[in-house]
Amino acid sequence: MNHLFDNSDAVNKLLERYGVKFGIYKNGEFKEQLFPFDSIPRVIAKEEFDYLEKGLIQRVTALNRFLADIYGEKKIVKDGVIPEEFIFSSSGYMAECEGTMPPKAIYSHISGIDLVQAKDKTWYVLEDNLRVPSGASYPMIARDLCRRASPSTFHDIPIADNRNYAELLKEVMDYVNTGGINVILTPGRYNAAYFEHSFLAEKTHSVLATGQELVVENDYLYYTGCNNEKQKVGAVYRRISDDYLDPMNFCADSVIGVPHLYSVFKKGNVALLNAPGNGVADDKGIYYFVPKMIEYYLNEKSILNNAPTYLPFYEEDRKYVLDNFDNLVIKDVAEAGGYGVVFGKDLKGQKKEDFINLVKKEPRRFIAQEVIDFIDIDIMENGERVPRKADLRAFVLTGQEVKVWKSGLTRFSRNPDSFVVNSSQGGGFKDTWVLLR
Amino acid sequence: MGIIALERASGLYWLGRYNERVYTTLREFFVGYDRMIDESEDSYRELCNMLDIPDVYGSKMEFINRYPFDENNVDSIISNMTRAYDNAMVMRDVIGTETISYVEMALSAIRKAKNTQAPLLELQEVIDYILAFWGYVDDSIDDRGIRSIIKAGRRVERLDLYLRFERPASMLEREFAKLKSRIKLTGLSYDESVIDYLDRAISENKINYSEAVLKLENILKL
Amino acid sequence: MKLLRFRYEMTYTYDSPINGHYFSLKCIPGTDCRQKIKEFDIAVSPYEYLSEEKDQFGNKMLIGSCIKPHESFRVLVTGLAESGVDIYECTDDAQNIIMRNQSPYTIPGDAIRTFYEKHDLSESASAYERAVNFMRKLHEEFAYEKGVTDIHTTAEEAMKKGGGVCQDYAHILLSLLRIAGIPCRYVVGMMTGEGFSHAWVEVFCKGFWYGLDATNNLLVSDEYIKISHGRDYGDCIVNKGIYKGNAREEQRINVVVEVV
Repeated sequence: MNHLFDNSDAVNKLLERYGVKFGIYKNGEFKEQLFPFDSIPRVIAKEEFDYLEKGLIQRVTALNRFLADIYGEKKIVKDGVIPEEFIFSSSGYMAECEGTMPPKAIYSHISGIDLVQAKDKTWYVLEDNLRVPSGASYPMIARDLCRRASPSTFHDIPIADNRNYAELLKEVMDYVNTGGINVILTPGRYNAAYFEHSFLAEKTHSVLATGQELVVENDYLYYTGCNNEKQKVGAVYRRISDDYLDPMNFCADSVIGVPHLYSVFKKGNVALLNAPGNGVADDKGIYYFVPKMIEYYLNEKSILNNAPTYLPFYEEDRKYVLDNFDNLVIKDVAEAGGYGVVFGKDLKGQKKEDFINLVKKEPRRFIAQEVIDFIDIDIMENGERVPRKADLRAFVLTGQEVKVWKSGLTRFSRNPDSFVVNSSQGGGFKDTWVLLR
Repeated sequence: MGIIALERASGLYWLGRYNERVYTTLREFFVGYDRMIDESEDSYRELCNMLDIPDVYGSKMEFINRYPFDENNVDSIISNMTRAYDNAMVMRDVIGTETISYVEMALSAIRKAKNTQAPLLELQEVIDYILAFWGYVDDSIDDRGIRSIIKAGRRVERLDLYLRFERPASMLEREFAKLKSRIKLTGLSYDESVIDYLDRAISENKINYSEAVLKLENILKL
Repeated sequence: MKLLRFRYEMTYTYDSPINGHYFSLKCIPGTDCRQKIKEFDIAVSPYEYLSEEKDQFGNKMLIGSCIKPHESFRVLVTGLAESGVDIYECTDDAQNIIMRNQSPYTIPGDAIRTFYEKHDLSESASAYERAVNFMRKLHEEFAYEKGVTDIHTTAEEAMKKGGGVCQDYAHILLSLLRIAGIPCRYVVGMMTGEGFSHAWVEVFCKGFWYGLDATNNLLVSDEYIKISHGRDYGDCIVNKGIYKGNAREEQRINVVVEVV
């Protein structure tokens, strides 16, 4: 295994060679950055992963049931389990999706569930990402390169192969495909995750397309060739958000979407992965209710823990939040990507007062959580091992069955004092090893 | 791979053209550089003239330093290499990560060469990577149409540059023959009158070089 | 009960050709408990493909495109409606939950909340009574005035301005009713006479939907033809379109409804 660490630079060089990058806007200019890789892996023991796997399958199953219910009968609201304010005022709720059942009744095909492990080894779910979770391509290609750098490591240690992600994804695309080719819809090369879009297209043998290359005609979606020939599309793994998907149904200003795409979907003539409208289920406010959802739909106790969370919306919780403000992390439910996260203890004076007033005035907008002191994982820095905070994004794929990818994206913060691990905030990533025995 | 969108066909074609542009202009630069070691004349001007790029250099030393490496000059070799890279990275699903990696390495080699004392030594690597790129295209891209669009780009660019360098008919004949057979395999519609024109001009050895360059530019509508 | 002959014409002209035009039209009145559409015709020109569908609230739509360059776009809807019963039965209670929640145009602010505090009847009154009361008060305090608001104006913004058109009356009434948790919906339709389309509100009370025309301080009668309903204006846009081209658009709309 030491051999692997010694070859850390070699692995990073290979990652550069293969263009493993993400895009970032700095001062209005688009730049590509390498996603720094640290070769010390996160290792998850077999029993531990078995537990996570069961919990993740349960969670994603319930979330899919929730989405079908919300855009259908709304039983969970009628039965008073979730207050309706949390559904219909959520920015992720899409009224356009009412009454539309996606092919095979699957809403969230690719779910990215963000977890952390506390110092006492308990795992906590921090966030569900059911819209367009990204990041699986990085560990997939990194593993390939690590195996080149240190074959003996992978010979000696029984590590689950994670390079099958594309196969799992293709299986799901094929399963929901309504007849036609598989397409990955990208906003274009100036998107932060363009590498991933193109890499997954290559590995799943899908066509990488921009909105301009797709056209709706007579209730079907087509990919247009250079001699104006048309090929029917049966599944679109879209890497653009709901708002931009179809200017006729959502945000009218979208130039990257496909006009009337949603109509084709509504008529059952194309599968969209993930389905539009999923934002209502991964809203930070709804997160609080996921364990209740699991009990409601599956009649089971939630296997995975949520981080202890309070909703200022409830008077009792609001009081707790105000009394314990300095110990909590407050999140704006509308923000993502590490933005809109405030640690109570970091706020002082007028700023603190203003923020507290905002929470009082718009309680629905915030959630508060206990700060989980999650475990450090070592990274190599200038030849030395130093501990850094790291989280884990697990990928759950829902097709004929619900499957958990035996790996995940482990992101770490390069800043020793930071808990924020997003790549857009300058972090790096690690391989995640799931042991087979 | 079934059909391919117009924008993507265009991307493949220009991927071929820019790779070839870097390759042939680099080789020409090598020849010129060697000549410039012995001369005090500014023979680089001739090269600028033939390539139809503005002479913004002022001296042969400046030309040697800037023509390959100046990222702020759109006509520099590095700018052309960047364009090749831009066209490559949007084609990952069509040509594959491994193929792209050679373009990626050619670009990073030219960046590295910029900061060395003997750039010709380092620039040789760029040529090596480009040749490896072509080798990998042949070896790994199974779809003949796709492969042919990239290679048609290469052939058009090669002929274009040779016409600009006013190479003799015998040399042009060889390049033209390759282009002629390649373009048929692309599955794209092309202007046959351009083929006829070049065929006549080259076989009869009555070449109006600047006119031929203009004609060739419009052979494919991409 | 009345027989109403209707004609709804939309003409758009462009001072230079447009292309890549996609549209979705919600201008097809449907048959329900309140009205029966006995004759109907729609003509769209130009178009390259047309397809029918229903939106999430059951409104009929016609979607299509015209990619080739064109300098005008015309939609003509004609037909005969029997309009008469002024209450609806509710069929889909799942949707009532949506309709009792605020939607993008109706989110209240201080102006609407103040109005609500001032005028709401006690909770012992029925939803219908509370709605009619709000309508009357709104009619007294809010002025009909063209040009002060536009299609993007929210209920709260209109309330602050103190005046607006039918769309604003409807949005404010919806916002007030939803503060009280009463299901209500935005309606686009036509009424007898000549002019434009009209907007009003339907409120749900004890199993029935009632139409309230806040602009005119009237209960919706047999002289109204309903075209579509939704949470607010955003769900009921009659002609939604996008196109390419840098043209100035001139829009002419003419609606005529006559009692036969």
